[in-house]
Amino acid sequence: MNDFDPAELSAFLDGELSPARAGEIEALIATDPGMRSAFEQLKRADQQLKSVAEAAAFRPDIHWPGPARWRAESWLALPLAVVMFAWVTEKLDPAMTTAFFVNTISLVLFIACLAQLALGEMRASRSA
Amino acid sequence: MLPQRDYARALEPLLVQASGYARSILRNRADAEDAVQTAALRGLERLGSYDELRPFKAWWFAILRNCCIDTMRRAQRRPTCAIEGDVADERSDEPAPDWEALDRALETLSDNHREIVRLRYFADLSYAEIAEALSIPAGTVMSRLYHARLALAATLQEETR
Repeated sequence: MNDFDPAELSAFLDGELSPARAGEIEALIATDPGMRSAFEQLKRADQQLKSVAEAAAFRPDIHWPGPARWRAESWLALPLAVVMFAWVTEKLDPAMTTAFFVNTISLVLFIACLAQLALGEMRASRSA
Repeated sequence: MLPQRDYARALEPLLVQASGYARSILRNRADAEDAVQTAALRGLERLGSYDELRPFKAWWFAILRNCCIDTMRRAQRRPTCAIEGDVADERSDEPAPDWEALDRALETLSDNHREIVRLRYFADLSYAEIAEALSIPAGTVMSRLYHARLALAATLQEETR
């Protein structure tokens, strides 16, 4: 066998060698007792580590933030709500039902945007 | 760039390994879960910097690794000395990993070798993915893993005597 690197025993264990090279290493392990012993030693360490790794794993609960699109829309809707409120206040008689209705919608939109943005910032700072 | 929905979908099959990897560093289930949550959100924020030609798993585990390091720094504790405080944190219906045996074995390794072992066994990364996550050549991964295993095998053999 050409240029045998002992680290290839480890790579063989991990299935990281090409099929041709893996075949050569396999033959070497089968025919050379010293090599077989070294391989078995690596294999034992491998099995012990695998069992600890298996015991350590668990399924975590991941909480995703609201859609990023909604946060972006909130930023756009915020100035829109302010402009709408200002325009209606200036142009229309505040006593009119329509003006009152539009202004109420503007205020609700404004507050909703602020709440959404504050929530988004809280989540972002938690993740930072 | 991956859309958010694709990101969550790509992350889903990695979460169990991620928790084990984080737990192997932080030695605490709650801290590990927090680190995975933080890494999930941090990855989402950094999706713009992700190059789709590179392996997603390696990219994301590099983020998780940094989150674990941040958590350790915040807690100001070394990764190998929190076993006692950890025991009460484990859920009683699950077998607790044999941290003490692993600790003794891992203590014999250098930081570089220890990290390779964690990425290989707990994160289940391939050599190419480890190389990507640590920015080292794949040949170095093979060599370090071999030497780490040799050292671990010697320690574990001594323990069984």
